[in-house]
Amino acid sequence: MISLSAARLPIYFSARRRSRITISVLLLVAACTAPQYDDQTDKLISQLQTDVDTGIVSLITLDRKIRSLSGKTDAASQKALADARTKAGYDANTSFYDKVDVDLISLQTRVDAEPSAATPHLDAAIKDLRDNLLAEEGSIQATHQKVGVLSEAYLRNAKTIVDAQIGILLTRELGLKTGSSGASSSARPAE
Amino acid sequence: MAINWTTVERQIEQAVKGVVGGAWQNAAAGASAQFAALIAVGKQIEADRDSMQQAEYDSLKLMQRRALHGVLQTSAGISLDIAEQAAADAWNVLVTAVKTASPAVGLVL
Repeated sequence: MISLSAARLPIYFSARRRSRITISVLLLVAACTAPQYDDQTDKLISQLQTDVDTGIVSLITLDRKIRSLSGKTDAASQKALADARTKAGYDANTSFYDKVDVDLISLQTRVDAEPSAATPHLDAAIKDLRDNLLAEEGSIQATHQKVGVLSEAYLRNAKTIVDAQIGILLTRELGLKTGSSGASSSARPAE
Repeated sequence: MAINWTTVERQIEQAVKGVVGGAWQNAAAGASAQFAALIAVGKQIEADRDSMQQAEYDSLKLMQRRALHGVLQTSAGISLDIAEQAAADAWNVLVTAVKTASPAVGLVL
């Protein structure tokens, strides 16, 4: 095994330079390390999928309710319609986006805590996911803010796209667990 | 005229292969999942085109393109320019199929 102790590098290097060399070598070793299965990453991806799907399905239910109540003129229906519209609106759902944000940060932190050859590609995949879910132009959050109440048709499609993105991350992680070739399919640089 | 989605999926795959070339082998597994999502979106647009607002459609277009070029980049190390081109071509195949089948789609596709 190669010793990377800064203290053992030749004396003609200054202490500062020896530290820099040690850090560089450690980073290089991390970058060359083959990705390993990580139970915590697996759980965080699953948690993200659960939270995203739960939020979207709840918005779909509200849109259905709004459509079923629209056009009814009795007082109870009108009240229920107003209530459903409020619950489906952006302001009532900011906690959903906050939760997804926290899930993504936790996943990103976990992936970066154990750097491997796959880390830059995983970082990019998580960024793409974040761009589709939060804040970025065209994301679910930005569209929700823009239109007020999201339609079932839109939500079903958005869920399909995001689930496929999360599915690729999950397949890769499960592939690492089972040692199957799927592990390399979603986070491998071109050879 | 009904859309033959199996043919559209094959055309999408050909379009993407044509842009990414030899890198397709590494991209195939991840890209296939996104093609399935793309086809699902196309079917939904065909069936429910009147129940979506333009902003929602624009969002889906951006999301789908991001997801596809993302998977091409991350799974096969394809450069951003090429991956974006492939994703745009894939989306254009889908839009052409929907427009051909239903010329009077209310949304600006």
